[in-house]
Amino acid sequence: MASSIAILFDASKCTGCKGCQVACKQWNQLPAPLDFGDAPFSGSYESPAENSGDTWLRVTFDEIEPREDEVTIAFGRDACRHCADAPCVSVCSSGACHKTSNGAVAIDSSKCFGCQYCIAACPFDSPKFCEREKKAKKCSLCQDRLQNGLTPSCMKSCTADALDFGARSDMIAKAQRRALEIKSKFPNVEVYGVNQMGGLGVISILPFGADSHREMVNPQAPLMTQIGNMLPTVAGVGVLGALGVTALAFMGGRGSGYSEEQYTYDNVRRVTCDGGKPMDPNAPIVKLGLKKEEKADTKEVKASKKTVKASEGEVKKND
Amino acid sequence: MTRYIRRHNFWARFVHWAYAVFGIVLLITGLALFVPGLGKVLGFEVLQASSWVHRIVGILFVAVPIIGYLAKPSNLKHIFQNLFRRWDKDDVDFMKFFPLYLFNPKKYHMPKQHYIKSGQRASDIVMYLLILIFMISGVLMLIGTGILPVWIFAIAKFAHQIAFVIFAILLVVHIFLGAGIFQPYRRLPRGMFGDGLVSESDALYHWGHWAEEELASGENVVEKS
Repeated sequence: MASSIAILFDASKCTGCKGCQVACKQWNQLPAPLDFGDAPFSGSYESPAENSGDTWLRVTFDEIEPREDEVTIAFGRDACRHCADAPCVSVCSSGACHKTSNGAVAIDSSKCFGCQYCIAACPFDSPKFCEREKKAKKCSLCQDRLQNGLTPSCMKSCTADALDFGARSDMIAKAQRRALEIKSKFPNVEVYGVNQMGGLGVISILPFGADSHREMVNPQAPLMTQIGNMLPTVAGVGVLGALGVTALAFMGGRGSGYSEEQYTYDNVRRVTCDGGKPMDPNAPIVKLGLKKEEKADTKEVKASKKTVKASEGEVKKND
Repeated sequence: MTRYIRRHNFWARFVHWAYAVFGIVLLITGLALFVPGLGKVLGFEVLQASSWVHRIVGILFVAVPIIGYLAKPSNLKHIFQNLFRRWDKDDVDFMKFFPLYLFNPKKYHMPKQHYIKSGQRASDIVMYLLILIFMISGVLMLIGTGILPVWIFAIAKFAHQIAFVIFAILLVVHIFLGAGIFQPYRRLPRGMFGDGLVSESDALYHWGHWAEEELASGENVVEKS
């Protein structure tokens, strides 16, 4: 089920000030690299170049085809999207990665033991491993603030009015209205997050289209995660099948075998003996229950029995 | 006096039991990670403890057999020589009839086999391949996404999971046959315990070609009352 609350990100209003990024770090007390060369130049205004265990929200910068000789940048908001069908939750064994009562996805650090499965499962590459704490970390939509009647810290710091927060349905309605307003200026405008991954907890207005703002057009749980979720069932069926086969084999094998003295090797004649008698090296693999002559006898007996039955039948008919 | 043939030397038995003990511990401790629902039932403390045991035993799983092979490098050579030896008619026939023999051993007189039966050779190749996958993917997962790209971690995790499924199924069959639960195989565990000897009769029944060579040469043959 999609979250009842959502953040609204309007990229058409974003100025790329990174105030949200700083506010996130400040509220969550996340350290930033301060030494010279700790944050190497990535070739864009983005800093740092990617999210980490200490950076849960980041503004992305993508320069696109200039319009009327203007430098145009498509801003993006890279943080957890709070999927309704969250693959990170489905793979978490400890329950650390969980859905909150308002439908957001949060990691309970006290339950995380750093297996990193959630990191591998996320199509948006949102959870990151924190080397300091040896745990997975990501945006929780500021659950601690929400519980105290506050809004997420990123939203609080946005001076361009590019971020809003409220009931998800309200945010969707607001995004759709805004998209209609700017459609003439931005013909490729898209409202993103309504249906993706069952519905996201971050609704975005993307004036240049999802792709230009570095959003996945059709996000899905990685195929390996999808198959991985089925493997426990496959393993269960496989092991039960193997146990069934071995049980049948055990029944079939009862009373079979040989004694510890049955087979010997005659070092003089250089042959293997079975019960003291040399074994026929060309003996057939399938042991026949009866010898040929015995088989022929049995056939004759069967044939004579049939004749007797037939003659008895005839006698009865005549009577 | 019964004649016995030395089948597995100390270091071969050491490596086997290292793989067996560590492998089963890893299977049990990994189960809670493999089945997320089970982890939630066991609770965080059990899960955390099992994850640490899994990591430590995982390192032993990689390191201890290497020690075994370093102590006796000829064992490794011997394994490879036997695993990849050319299949003869007896090997092919053994594989053809084994499924039938398994359910009705009284009816079949199985063809003579070399040091490792053809069926076991096929199974062992898969087993060693799985061990290799476990080792490589385990080490990659231990290094983690803090250092490695996420896609490498994801592939390692997936390979670990797939290997887990096949390993669990093979283990059931391996225990059934190797531990002698299957009636005609009932004395086989002896080769992996104690002195690693197998009786003349057992050797001739199971590995006819190998037993005949050994008994003819007498090199690894001991007599006991």
